Amino acid sequence: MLVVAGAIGLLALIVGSLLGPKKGSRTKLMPYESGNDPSGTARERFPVHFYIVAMLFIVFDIETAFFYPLAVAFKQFGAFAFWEALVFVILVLIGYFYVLKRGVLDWR
Amino acid sequence: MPLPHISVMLLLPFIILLLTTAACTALGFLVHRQAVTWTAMAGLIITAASLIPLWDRHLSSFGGALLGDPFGIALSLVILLGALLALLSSLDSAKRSSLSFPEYDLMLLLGVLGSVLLAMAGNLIVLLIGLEIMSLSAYVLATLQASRSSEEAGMKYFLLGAVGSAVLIYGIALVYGATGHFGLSGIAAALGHAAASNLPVLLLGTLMLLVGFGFKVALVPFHQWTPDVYSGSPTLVTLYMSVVIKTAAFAGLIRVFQMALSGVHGWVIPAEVIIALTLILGNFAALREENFKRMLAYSAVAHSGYLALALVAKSSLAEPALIYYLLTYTLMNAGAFAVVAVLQRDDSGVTISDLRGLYSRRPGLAVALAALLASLSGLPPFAGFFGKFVLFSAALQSGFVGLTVIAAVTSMAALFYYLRPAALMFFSEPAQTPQLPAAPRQYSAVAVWVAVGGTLLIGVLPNLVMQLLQRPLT
Amino acid sequence: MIPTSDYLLLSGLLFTLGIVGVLIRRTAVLVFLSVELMLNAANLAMVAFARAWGQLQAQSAVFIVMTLAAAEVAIGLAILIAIFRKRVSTEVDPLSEMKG
Repeated sequence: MLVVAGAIGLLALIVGSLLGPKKGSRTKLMPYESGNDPSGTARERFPVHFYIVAMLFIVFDIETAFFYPLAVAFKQFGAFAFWEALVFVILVLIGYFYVLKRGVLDWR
Repeated sequence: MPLPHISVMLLLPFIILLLTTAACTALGFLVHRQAVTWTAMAGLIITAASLIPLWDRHLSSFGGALLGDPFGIALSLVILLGALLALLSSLDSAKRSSLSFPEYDLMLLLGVLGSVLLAMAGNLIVLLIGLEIMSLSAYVLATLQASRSSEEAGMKYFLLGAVGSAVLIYGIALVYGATGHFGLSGIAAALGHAAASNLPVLLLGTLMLLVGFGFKVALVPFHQWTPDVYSGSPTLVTLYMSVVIKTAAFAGLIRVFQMALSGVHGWVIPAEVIIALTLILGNFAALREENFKRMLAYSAVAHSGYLALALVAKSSLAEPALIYYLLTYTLMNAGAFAVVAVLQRDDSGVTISDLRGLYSRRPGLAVALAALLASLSGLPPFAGFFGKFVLFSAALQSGFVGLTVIAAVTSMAALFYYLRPAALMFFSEPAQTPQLPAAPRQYSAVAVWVAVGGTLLIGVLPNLVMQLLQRPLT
Repeated sequence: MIPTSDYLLLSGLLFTLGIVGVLIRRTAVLVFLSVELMLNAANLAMVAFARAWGQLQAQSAVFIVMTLAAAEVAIGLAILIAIFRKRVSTEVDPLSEMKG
């Protein structure tokens, strides 16, 4: 089964590349930017700032992942879970205030 | 669903460490850096005080996920001692290394938190969390100084550390898959009736855990980052890494293999090969190094080899020996790196020829460094001798004759590279080296003399420590 | 029902790809991506084992590994930025005037 499935996939690719026309017009080769004409190259250097914000986003974003299991099991754990979560949020907040105070989030 | 049993007493050290970190974060914006360091040191001392009443009580929390057994508590105290020495010598040396900002203390505190968690973990997931808190803060510490070498060291450490963690996590997944448990005692209990078809998975997982920890404690062939990271990082960070991280990583390694996986067949021979390679390569590579910091890095690799003897030896012999040697190692390595931090002109450290005639320039430092080097090489009045003795005899009594012979022979070779700088300091004419950086160094001096005094004390009276440890630890 | 061994095969493949990537790539970011692949292979294995043992414990462990991976990404990016800033510090970035 696996072999047949793989063979069909490969066959489709090979036949497609052998038989298909290979013509490229300007519009066809243009990068896809949601239907707009692209403005400039995509390989520009972004300011470092974007990376820092992205980095902070990753951290704070993943922290929310913990709240889904908490929400599911909240009824069973009751007040204990609430205080635990509060401690967790406060710890994250300390980090957030550190970031704020260091001025990472203001755009010069 | 019943709530897990929680022992607040056992959580207290962690709560104190967290509060100290939070307080230091806030203080960092308000007061001078030295005040933050003093606060951090006070926090570490209070944490140590909160650990001592737990000594004989064998508490556990969260269904055995956190263990307050003497093994964990003793190694936590060693970790706290190492961190205290690092902070103490940073009080004056940090300024010279342009590291004098509160982030150094913060990251160090977080690293200590992770290390203590690792030392007291009774569950592979808790162990992983501790290990990662420790490693992540160490990557930041290595990169903290705004210099090319520090950034390069940080990047290397990060990449290899991340690979090590990934292998370790996969190992945890496989061990869980074969036994159905994350808890160390649960794994040990499940080994007895594991299905035969699960055994290859179990062995693979065990070997991956060995490799993952091998990266963290620098066992050959997973040690390649050590010389670069140790010599590229600021010396104060190297001090911290070489004592705190090594102690914590060994705590985790020995705990997992002695408590959970000692019943798995087939990992002892690979472990023996790795240990033998570590002993040989670490000691012989150190012979060729001219940079004192790199030499100490290879000496750290070699010491990983000695310490890893506790991995294969019988646990009742291995654990006291490991704790004693880690305490000794913390004292002597912290002292040696503190001396380097005082002597260096920049964070590339000192070359061995820079030490020429140190005695005539700074007799105090020269005597201290000579004592620490003698202890590292394992000469009698110092603790390094007795530490090696108990470790080697633990391995010998467990039947690893070949390994013990290799350890003994390589530690003879080690005498050369430890005693050459010591001899240069006393018997050579002062070289045309510029004078020491003129800066206050009273705190570093205290750290160095605490280290020398400690190695001498527990070297002459080893029973001070061994008596406490000679009972079932886990 | 798909047997656990199939998941393990996939997970092992992912892990091997990750290791190969770590060994042959010379760019920090790509090495880093390979490490993430290894972590996800471990996650897949854990979830598969959790189903095989009928326990939820390992699934919650996956959450923790995911968080660790995110923290690792953040630290790795931070180190990369620190290096990147240093190496091209003389050039004024053409986009720095854009207000977010």
